[in-house]
Amino acid sequence: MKYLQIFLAAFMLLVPQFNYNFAQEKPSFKLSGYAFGDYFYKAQGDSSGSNGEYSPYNRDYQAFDLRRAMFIYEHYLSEKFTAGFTLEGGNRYFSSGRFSVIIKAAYIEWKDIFDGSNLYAGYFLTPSFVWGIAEKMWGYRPVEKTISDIRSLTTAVDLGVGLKGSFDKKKSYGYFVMIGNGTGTRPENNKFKNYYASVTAKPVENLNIEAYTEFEPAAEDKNKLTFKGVLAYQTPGFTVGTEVVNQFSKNSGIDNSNVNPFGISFYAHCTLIKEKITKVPKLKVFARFDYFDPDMNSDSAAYKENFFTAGLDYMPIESVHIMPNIWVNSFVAKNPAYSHRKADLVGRVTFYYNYK
Amino acid sequence: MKKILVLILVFLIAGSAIYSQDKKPVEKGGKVWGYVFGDYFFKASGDSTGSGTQYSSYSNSYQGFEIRRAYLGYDYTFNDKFSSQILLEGNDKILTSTRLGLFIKTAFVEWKAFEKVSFAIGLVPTPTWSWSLNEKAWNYRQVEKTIVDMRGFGNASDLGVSARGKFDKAGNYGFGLMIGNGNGQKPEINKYKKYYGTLFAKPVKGLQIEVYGDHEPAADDKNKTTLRGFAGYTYEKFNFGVEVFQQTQKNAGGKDINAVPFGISSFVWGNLLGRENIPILNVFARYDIYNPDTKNDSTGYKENFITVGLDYMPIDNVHFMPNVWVNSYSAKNSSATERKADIVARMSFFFVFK
Repeated sequence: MKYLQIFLAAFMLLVPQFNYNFAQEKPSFKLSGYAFGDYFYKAQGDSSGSNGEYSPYNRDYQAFDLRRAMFIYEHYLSEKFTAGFTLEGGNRYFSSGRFSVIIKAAYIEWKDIFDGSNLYAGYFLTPSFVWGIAEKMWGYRPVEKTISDIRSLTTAVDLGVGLKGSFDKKKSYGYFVMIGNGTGTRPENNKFKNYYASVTAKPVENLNIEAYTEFEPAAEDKNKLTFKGVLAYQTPGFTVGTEVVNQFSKNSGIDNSNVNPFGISFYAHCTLIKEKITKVPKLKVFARFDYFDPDMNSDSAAYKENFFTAGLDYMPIESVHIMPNIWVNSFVAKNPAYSHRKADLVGRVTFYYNYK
Repeated sequence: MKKILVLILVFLIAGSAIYSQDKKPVEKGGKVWGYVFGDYFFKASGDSTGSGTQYSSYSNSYQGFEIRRAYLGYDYTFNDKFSSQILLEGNDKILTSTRLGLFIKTAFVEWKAFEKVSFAIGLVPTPTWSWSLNEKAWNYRQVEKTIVDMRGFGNASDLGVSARGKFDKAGNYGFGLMIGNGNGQKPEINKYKKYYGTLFAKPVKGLQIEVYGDHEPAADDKNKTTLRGFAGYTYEKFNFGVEVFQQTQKNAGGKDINAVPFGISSFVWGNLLGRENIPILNVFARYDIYNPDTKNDSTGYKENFITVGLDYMPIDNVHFMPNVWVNSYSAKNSSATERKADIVARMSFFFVFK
């Protein structure tokens, strides 16, 4: 018996899983990522344009599509410093006509530079939707971007410096300020900088509020001032929320007129079926409606747009999602003389998986 | 008998662990690593009339945040003889669909065929500065390239085969040889190859010396021959270095008209503050003289480059470096338009993950 004990003791010392020191060691890096895409069929609409995902396609067009593939690397340099590096590929990035990747993030994070606040330097996610609350509350980026993202009113990432933190110990109230180039994933092309600021609050349980603004001056007395607000009620099984965005784009229209895009988005998603034992969601349902006016100052030009999506989210396992959904973007001409534009109506089976 | 068997078993398991620790075999497996550097910069003087340096194309008062390099590498070791690397680089000049893109900087396999000699094939770091002493000794690539790199007289990596090795056990004397396309990270465009060779020596403590040459023939009786020398010395916490190069571009200006660019670079860097032998604050300075064609006294500009700065390291792998970057021009011909110096103030950042 004694010898068995000796043997077991020696074995436990030598096998890393039983070695206390080994088990306590924190890994120095983390690899994660995700990908999403669809099979889609455009049931209605023409190819007369606008920036929507499916507006360039003819009616009856169908295809498999990879809308995003992300590779995320985080390296823990010390307790206080983390380096991040992210590559993104998808249907917009090509090198000699083939799928390629871009650098989506390359930054250093200095945790607790002062109590409760982290400093970021380099090329990182702005407070506008990913590191704000807008995208988290909507929860279905694989289905569609948030309204300020889809309408290109701000940028997901930027090159600059930022400070993110909370005002209280419970982290119920937070802030995020940033100065960046304002050119997103592209190199800088002017001397003017973009200034971002957001504050978040959870005044009562499950209620999430965010107020966001950004300002970017430009040459020839032009500038852009954006305001955005998010209000969402979120429990583990149910979310209902709204996002509103308004941009004042000075001297950027015809004859140096001001342009004033406005949009509002309403969404909800909830769990329909859970795994009986683990209570992990197996089936969810989601829906969203957006109203967007590309220029509230103009009553006669262009089209107002309404966006609608609804679908189911089936999860065979937690990290794999299969989401049959419909995607509709309709157009209302502001000027009756304008040609009627049929709505883009697309049926999709969207897939999404993440690894982390 | 049972007792003996158990003891033998324990001995064997423990013994194998002890043996493996003593021998330290090369670990099979992969490792992700990389680094990123960039700046906030403000151009305080100069115009946008051009030349190939980092800030010459910007107008006065231009400011911006910039990523000058982002590396993501993967090293994989097959066994104690074979290892490989693939390295992706992104920077502000590499665009994919107008966005910050990537290209393949290295992709090679290295075979340690003999104890002191290794061979590499693929897209391999060249001995021009990547697999050589000069860039390591300068130590501040994140501030500026070495003079040969900065003035565009070579490539960091090239597609070909290389051999590198040492003449003695300590590695104080060694060599590097390479044959490559000569077109860097771009595909080959002609039948001519580029030949590289370098020798280095560390004859006494702190001193390192390197001589380097490359030759690339081309069509129409043209060719390029580069010679480069480097000497560096470390004294206590300070490092000094000087690098000189000359390239002869045969028939570059027409028949029997050669162009001969020449440059000399000197630098110093060292530690000002530290804690428990870990550096916290370094200082660096460099001065370069560059003549794009010593055979031509009447056109073009001679250039002088200066950079001075501090390097604050809150931890070993994170650097914040306030610095000034100056490239000045003196016309060879007094009737040429005067060019103001490009003066840029920067807050550079640099972090390494490995």
